[in-house]
Amino acid sequence: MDIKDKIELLKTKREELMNFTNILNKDNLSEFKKLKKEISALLIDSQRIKFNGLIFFQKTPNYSKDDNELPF
Amino acid sequence: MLLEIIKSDFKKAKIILDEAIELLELKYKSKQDVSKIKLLKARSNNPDFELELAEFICGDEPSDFPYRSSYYLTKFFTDLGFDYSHDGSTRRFWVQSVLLQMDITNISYVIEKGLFNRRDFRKSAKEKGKDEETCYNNSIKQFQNFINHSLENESGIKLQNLLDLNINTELLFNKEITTKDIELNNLIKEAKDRFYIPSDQKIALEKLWDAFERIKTYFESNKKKSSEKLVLIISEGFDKEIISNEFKLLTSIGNTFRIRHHETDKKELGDKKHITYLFFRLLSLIDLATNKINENEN
Repeated sequence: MDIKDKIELLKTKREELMNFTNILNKDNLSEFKKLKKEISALLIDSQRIKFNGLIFFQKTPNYSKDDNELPF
Repeated sequence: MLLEIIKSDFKKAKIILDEAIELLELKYKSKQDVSKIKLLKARSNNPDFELELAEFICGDEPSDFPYRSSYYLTKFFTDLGFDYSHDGSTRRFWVQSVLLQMDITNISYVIEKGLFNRRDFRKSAKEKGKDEETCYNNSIKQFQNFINHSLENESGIKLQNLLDLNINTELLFNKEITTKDIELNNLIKEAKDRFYIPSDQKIALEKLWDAFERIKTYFESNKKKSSEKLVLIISEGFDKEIISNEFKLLTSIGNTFRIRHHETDKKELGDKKHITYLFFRLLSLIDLATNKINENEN
């Protein structure tokens, strides 16, 4: 992949990631994880280390697979 | 409730992606914003970049940077126009977390306007009973070492992307002069070190011109004979006349302008842009000369 294509792909993935900011939930979690892996593969060195260190969400103590509601 | 979204992680991810894109764009367009590229490279290359920078901001011993308590850390960021308030956690980890949320433009701003704020150094030196100038210059050196160390941190990054962009970067930041003439090496090093300090750039130019006069006598005390030999070595495989003319022209500039000589008939160098131009023009020649000397001796 040449640099120009990589830039465009990163911009697209950045937008996709930011779209999850308010809508991440159980139903789209696998899609989010897939995106996270794709982005990680595009990054190098410290950027990848820092990105992989981000957790983005945490399951609350009363987590239930049947629970679809978000607190916001 | 199912999932709790950590919004600050999304913010940090955006910064990481913004900078990854910016780095690629700089590479693609070959822009010459060297200082920004250098900082970006250092950040990209060093996983502990924010933590090490945080330690400077906190100013813990044995650093020469001003010490900042919880109150002064909040004030540090507030004074710079950022809305961060220390939450009582370990100071350096808190500052690291703040820096992780900043893009490279804001990081540059924090370094220039905050970390090297002269007023803070004055106050801190007075409290510690130390000399302000010494603390300030030591801090500049500590910061330069941190950047160089970050860039040297081997993790597969290709530094040539940075070095190829602008010869000034290599000349200023990455070269240690190692000729047999220690005094010459010291003069070049001092010139480079001083050039980082805006108020010292004229002195840096003077030191570099001293190095230029010194290198002319590298081979023997007879300046004419020694210079001719030097020109011959440098010109090998190139053009003797061009190198010889460059030596003559730079010598003439040194004698015409108030660089090393301070008689009343010498022309003033008032514009910093001209000082920078002359500094790099001469540094390029000296760099070439020392490379060729080393090559010849080895």
